[in-house]
Amino acid sequence: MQPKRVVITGVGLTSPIGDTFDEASQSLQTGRHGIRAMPEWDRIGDLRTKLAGVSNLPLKGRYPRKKIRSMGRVSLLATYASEVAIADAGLDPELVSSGRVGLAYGSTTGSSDAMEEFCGTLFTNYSLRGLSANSYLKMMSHTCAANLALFFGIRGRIIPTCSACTSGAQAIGYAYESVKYGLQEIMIAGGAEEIHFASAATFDLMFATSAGYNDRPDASPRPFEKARDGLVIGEGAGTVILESYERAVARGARIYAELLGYGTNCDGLHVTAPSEVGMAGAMELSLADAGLSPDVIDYVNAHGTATEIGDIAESQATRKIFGRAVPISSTKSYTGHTLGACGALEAIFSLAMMRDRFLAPTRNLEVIDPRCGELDYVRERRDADPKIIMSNNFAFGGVNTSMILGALDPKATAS
Amino acid sequence: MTREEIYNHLVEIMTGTFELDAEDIAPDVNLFEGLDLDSIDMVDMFVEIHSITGKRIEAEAAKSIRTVGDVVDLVERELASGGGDPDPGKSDGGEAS
Repeated sequence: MQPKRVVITGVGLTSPIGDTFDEASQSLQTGRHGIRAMPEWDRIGDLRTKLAGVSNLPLKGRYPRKKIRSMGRVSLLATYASEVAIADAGLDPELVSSGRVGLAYGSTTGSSDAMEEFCGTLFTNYSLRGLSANSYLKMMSHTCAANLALFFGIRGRIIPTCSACTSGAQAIGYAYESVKYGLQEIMIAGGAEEIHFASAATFDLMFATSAGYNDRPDASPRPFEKARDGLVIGEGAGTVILESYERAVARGARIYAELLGYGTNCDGLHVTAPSEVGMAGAMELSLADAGLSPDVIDYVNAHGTATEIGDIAESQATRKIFGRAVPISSTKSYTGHTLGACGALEAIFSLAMMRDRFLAPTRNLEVIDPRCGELDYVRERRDADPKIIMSNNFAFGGVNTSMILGALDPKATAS
Repeated sequence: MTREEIYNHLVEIMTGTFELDAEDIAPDVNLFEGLDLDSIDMVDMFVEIHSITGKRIEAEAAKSIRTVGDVVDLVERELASGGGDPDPGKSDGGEAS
């Protein structure tokens, strides 16, 4: 069978910089970030970082109890983003639950809040007393995929992609492959993360968090910057709807972009340290999958977490692949590192730049770290017409992903 | 705890945990057909009952429950039989090993 062309026909998100596609695009164009101080973390006395990127979406009372009783915050954020994306794509509920629609979704872990409740009770008191039936369902690794499937009545394939910071990107990648090779007609794909001091603590332990700007949320994170001091944790959810180009055109769907290529690999070297070779390898794979030369990429949306070792490795790997100063920026400077959500959110931010014809600058990038690769670091909002964008993500475990998004001929798109 | 106190406490739990309207709850109302609860909800109900009686509900007793009144009966029976497990908050559970 001939592989199908795969397009994105629906988008939904909640993020520290907006809960709609338009709002997020505006934030990226005006430099409005979503990082704030976290005084509620003061009770964790030895936690160094006290900043986070938080979604402001009101969740209380949004959905009926029985539909969401097994959802923690991470699944609720995913549900909202997916509900918006499904409506945006114009998929009716009958089709969604027909078995012709599948789902790929990931998060770093299940709900940390539920884990706190479950483990606090069982591991501290050694008692089942007070344990809710739903705690495990909220904290299990595939909680987003399972709960979304239940919420929307999805009967197609379910692919949970829980690979930390590449969870969202892998979800889109495996969804893309599912449609491309005819395994599923339509895929709902994305990633989510909920803010919790547990994820902040994980990176804090490894000295990877920003702690020097706790009194200046405006000034951190600082990807690729000489005075960077680590990442800021964030939360959110991003969902896209994927279907074949032929199907989308036949039903007159609005097409945001074509997913031209996707590549993923593993360093197989170290559990946390990044590898330039692995990163470059993933970029090569996505370019090969798309059948494109790096020369045609207009912009790279970097993983850019603002850790010293990560920024340097990524920028050097990017330079190696492109052999030129390709325009690059990190939108984590607006949202913080949304971990399981970042691959999906950053793909969506890339679509916003494509539609609204601009490149979002990396915030707080004043002096570029001279150890970073020689690239065209976007530092001010730039009018541009990025038609082909590469978005990269990298995760603990040496997991690397790269996807390439391409604008369609304007005649084929409605907006 | 009197039977009435048990009933009122259960109504509180059911309106709080399951977002039910108090006026829909009555002793003869079926929990599943009348109040749209299911097996997962019942586990959470037993967690609440555990906090009243200090005892985990036995599987057989759990399976026989159909109505709100059955739950009141169960709590009453458990309280009358005495001997709940120690409050985990006050125990040194597990530390000894």
